[in-house]
Amino acid sequence: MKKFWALFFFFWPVVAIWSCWVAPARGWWFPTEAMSPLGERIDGLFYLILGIVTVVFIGTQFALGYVLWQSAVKGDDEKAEFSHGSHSLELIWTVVPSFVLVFIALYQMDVWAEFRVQSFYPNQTQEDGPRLELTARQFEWRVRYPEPGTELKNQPQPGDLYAVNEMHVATGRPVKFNLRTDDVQHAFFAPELRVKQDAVAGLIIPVWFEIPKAGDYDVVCAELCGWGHYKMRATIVAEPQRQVDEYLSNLQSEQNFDGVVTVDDEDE
Amino acid sequence: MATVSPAIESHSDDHAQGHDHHEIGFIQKYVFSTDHKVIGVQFLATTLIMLMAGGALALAVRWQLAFPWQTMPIVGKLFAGEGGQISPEFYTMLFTMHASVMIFLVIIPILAGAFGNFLIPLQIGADDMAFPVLNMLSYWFMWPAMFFFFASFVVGGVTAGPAAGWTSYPLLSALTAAAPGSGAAQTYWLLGLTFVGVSSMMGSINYMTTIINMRAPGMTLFRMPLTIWSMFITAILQAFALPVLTAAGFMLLADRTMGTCFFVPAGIIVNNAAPTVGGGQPLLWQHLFWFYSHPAVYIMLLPAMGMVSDMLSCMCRKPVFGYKPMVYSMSAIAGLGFIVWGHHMFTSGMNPALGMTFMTSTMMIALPSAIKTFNWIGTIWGGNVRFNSVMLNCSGFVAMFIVGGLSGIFMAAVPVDIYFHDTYFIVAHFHYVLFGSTLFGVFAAITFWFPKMFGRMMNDTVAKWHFVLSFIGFNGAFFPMHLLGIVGMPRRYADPYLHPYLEHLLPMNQFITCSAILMGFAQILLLGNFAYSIFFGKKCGRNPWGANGLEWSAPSPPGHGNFDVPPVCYRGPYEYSSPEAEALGQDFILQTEPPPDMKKTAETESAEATA
Amino acid sequence: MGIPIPNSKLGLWLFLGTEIMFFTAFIGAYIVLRIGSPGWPTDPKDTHILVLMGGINTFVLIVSSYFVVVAHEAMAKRDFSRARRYLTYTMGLAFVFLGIKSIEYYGKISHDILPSHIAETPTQAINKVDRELEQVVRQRFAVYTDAEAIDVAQPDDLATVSAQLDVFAKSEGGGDDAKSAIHDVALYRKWQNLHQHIVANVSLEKVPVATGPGYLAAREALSEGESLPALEYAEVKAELARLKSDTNYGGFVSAGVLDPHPVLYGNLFASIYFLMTGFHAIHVIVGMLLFARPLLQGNNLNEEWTDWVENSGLYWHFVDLVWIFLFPLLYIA
Ligand code: HEA
Ligand code: HEA
Ligand code: CUA
Ligand SMILES: [Cu+2]
Repeated sequence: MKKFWALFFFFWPVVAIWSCWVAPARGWWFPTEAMSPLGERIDGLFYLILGIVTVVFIGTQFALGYVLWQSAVKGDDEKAEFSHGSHSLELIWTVVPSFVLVFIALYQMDVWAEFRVQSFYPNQTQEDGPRLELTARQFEWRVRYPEPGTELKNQPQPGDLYAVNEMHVATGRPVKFNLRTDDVQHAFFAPELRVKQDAVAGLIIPVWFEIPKAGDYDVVCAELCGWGHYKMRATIVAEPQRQVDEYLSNLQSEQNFDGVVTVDDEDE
Repeated sequence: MATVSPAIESHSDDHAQGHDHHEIGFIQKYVFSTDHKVIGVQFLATTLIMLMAGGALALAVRWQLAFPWQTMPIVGKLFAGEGGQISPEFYTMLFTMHASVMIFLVIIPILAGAFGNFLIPLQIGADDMAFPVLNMLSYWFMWPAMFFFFASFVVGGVTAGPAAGWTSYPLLSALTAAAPGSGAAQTYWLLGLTFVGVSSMMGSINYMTTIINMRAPGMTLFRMPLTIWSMFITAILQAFALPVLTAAGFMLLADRTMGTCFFVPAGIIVNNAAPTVGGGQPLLWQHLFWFYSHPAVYIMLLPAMGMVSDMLSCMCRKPVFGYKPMVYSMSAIAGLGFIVWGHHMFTSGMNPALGMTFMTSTMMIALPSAIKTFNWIGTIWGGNVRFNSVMLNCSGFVAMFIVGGLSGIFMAAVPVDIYFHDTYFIVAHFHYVLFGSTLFGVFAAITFWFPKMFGRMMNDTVAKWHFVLSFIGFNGAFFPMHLLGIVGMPRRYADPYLHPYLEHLLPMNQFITCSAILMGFAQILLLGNFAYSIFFGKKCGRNPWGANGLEWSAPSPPGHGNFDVPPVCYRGPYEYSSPEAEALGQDFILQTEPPPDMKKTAETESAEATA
Repeated sequence: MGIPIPNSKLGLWLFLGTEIMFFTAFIGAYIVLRIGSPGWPTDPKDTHILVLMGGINTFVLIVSSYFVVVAHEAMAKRDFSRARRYLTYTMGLAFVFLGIKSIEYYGKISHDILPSHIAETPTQAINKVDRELEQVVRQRFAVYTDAEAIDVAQPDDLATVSAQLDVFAKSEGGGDDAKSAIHDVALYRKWQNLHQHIVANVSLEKVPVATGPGYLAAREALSEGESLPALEYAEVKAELARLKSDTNYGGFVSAGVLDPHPVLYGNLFASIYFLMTGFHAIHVIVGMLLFARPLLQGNNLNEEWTDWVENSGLYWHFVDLVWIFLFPLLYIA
């Protein structure tokens, strides 16, 4: 029975690792590979930590199983070793992990800086300024574009264009937008892009991402915002700049459409 | 206010003991008792019942995730809403109350309230707490807390409970219009929180005073069992972190009821209500909340760490590996615990430079945890392990803590946390540390100290079954949650399958739910074993485990005043298998056992100590 | 084993440690909110802070702290009557403190410097005047409906009440009531006019009645992109001053309507102010209860109470200390 218990503690980490091993093939892994350069670096960091942690996990779990096993095979009346510890061991397992941890801490600084510190944002975003404003509210995402050819202002302008739950952005260039909320706290979460940012009442938070490949990307809400939290859903439509412009001008004429069709309008 | 009166009366209760037995009635002895042992057992019983309640809520949460919008069996009919299905509002309330019950009414009071109360005086050789009446009050303040928590279920009808999560972020929790149902309920919830806070506060002051001032002669700081160290450090954390939450709670309460605007910015329109006036900051709440609640997660862990160290040492018949490093690392965890709160707010929009600081300090807090982990493994190493349920639960504790801790490393890395924040990865992480570590530690502690509480043993076979089923159910339920997190399934979602990229997760969630039900069943074994053994367990003597601590020199269960002879402590708590013990022909040596040359003078000395 | 301090005192010290954290949270929140706000009201005209009163209160508390020390010393020397005398002084000063505090509170309450009551922008101030004026009108009308001088089905509907009052005022035999009714109806009309301008946000002086024919005509005449002159804060202020100086109903208006006075971040200020001073006052009251215990012993005060007095004295010093932090933070900074 003793051996059974020792094996029990060997056995379950094996199952755990096996389940992680088969997970990607069954779709229990990232929804897609990262669809943005920054996301790729986040993934890289994730896999690095995964590697370190796997080594530590296997090491410690098997050490635990091993010390149990060692005792399980011992006779019942065999005496326990009388020892209060070991200075050198203590030193080793303080110093080694601390190097690993400091390494992880330093290694990730620049990814974080690029994601969140405005002065580290890609130059392009500084030049372009925010392309649109995304406002979360219970329970939808509202998008406000500046009138084509103008810059986005924090206050709504008469010429602004509006859309709900659908934001069109250009591919192949960093896009910055302003994130805010009309009511309670929400969070912008685009899983495929690995971007998440809370929208906090009273703050306007600039967020950026870059999508190389055209396509539709999910946006969900990741901060509890009330009963409808689970159903806040939007789509990022990434397409070449030309199509974005087209979309915007369509939106503009739709919005300016006053119900009266004249010959002039059709010419435009 | 008997509490402020100086209580030097320790060690001189012989005479009091005499007539107490005649005069104290049933109510005073078992209900409004000031005896730390009774209070400890009261806490234990209450929290075990709350564990069931919190677990039942969790199972309801799991039901919705496995079979969304389908009527729950048996209890489904009780709920409002069409066809007895769980409405989204109700789901929000379910996990809010699940977490609140588990954290505020189970884990914190079971560690500090139940075991802290029962063990502190016994392990340091005192006859009771420094302030017995305060101690009693700290238990009875749990009742208004429970009342308010449970009232918050009903004040607004069944489906309109507090709905802002256990973290209660404003504005969802600050504006009554933001979560329509939860008007009064959220206020009640805050009141409940305040009472839990007051209760913990009274406890922590009591524990600190007792540990500082009431140790038996010879019980120097470095002869204290690690349980006592952990309780002491926990009490310090409580005392200095909790007032901040209480203060924040008052501010939120005022925002809700008195029109203040600490957390409410101006011009917010929620649900077509009038725009708010003011200019407060919602993030302020998060800072204050986590300033308490991060230290609180260590409040929810350290006592278990201490107790597991005790038990491992006893079950391996071997001294704790690195006693002093254990003490220092616990202190380091506590110290660092005060400066890492920001890791819950990486994506909240706080100053990014702060993010870096918090990330570094969070990484550093893994270091003392690492030291402890390795020391536990070192303790088992070369020991003569007794494979009983206590040992199994302790090993489970270590194994699960590693998993929970290592997932913490992912989230401590800010860029990775950008992706993982508020996904099931977090849910997996904290269930591994809260259930996986703390509760397995508590299961071990219940079995280990049960004989001291009731003078009878728990059934080891049933306890082993309980362990195996809990362990399998637990890992089956929570390990896959890591994977859900990697897929990007956000937490607090009543119906994740609405989103195409999460659709395929339904079978996995059903598997998780089945495992959770298995785990739930296992807890019935625990309760059954506990209740049965109180009355029918095998009777036992003073020291059934052959352990060293002072508590094992007292009768089982100890009478009023705990020790028949005021104990004197002569050595450290973990001298298992020491040459001295060998000399006595056993593998343990009680802390009260005088060294051979002092044996003769022992009587006189203990007499002196009493004087 | 332990340290040479009695449990009660050790416990109290630890308790004070927790209290420090409690107030630290408030002070920290205050600093964060204040630094995080682009502005903060500091002018006593806005905040109705009375620095002198606060200063006197600081002095009062310090002196009372000294008296507790004397009282404890007397207890230790077993001079119980002296101890009682000084405890009484302390108690007296605590009452003085609370008295001064209530004067300050009264000053704020009477100017409606209360959380969520304060108008922060001119627009909010105008709306507030509107609301308060409506309240005055309702109160005036209630005089007649309550006394059943007139008989209305819907006493809440001001328009009907006013119409009936109009008839009543002109009817014979109404006596004094009828005479005052004329003025109240006049007040109602003034308020209605103001209200309509506020709702339509058009100038009070340049546009006759906001919903009247003149207004409609003016609006018709607008060309594209043009708008009627917007209502100005000063206009409303002037109109209110006119109402207040009216001999017939000016009294009611003055009593019921505060002069508009927008205070940016005033609500946040009031929230903080009442939170911190309020919790401090609660602590003062607890301290007074602690002193009341030995004082209630009367002549039976004996050495058993020495520790009690010492410990409550310790607590009192803490309460004093908190105030010494609050005073500069709230009154001066
Ligand atoms: C008992 C409770 C407990 C404990 C002990 C911990 C321990 C840790 N926690 Fe956890 N945590 C919670 C309870 C707990 N946590 C809860 C309840 C939440 C969620 C709250 C909510 O949002 O609702 C949370 C959330 C949480 C977050 C926020 C995630 C988010 O919301 O985005 C983070 C981020 O950094 C974090 C990190 C850590 C770290 C680094 C540790 C470390 O202390 C772990 C250290 C331990 C180890 C690392 C393992 C042993 C070490 C080794 C074997 C050595 C070798 C290791 C290496 C070299 C890597 N936790
Ligand atoms: C100590 C703390 C603790 C413990 C022990 C648990 C235990 C469990 N939790 Fe816990 N959980 C939290 C703390 C805890 N949880 C916290 C803090 C949150 C975050 C909340 C938030 O987001 O705000 C959370 C959130 C949370 C979620 C996420 C909800 C969401 O985000 O949408 C889920 C989902 O699966 C879950 C499941 C479970 C399960 C299955 C258990 C199981 O271990 C339970 C096992 C079952 C039992 C122990 C009960 C057995 C009893 C019976 C079968 C009899 C019942 C009958 C009677 C009434 C007598 N929990
Ligand atoms: Cu919006 Cu959650
Ligand atoms: Cu934390």
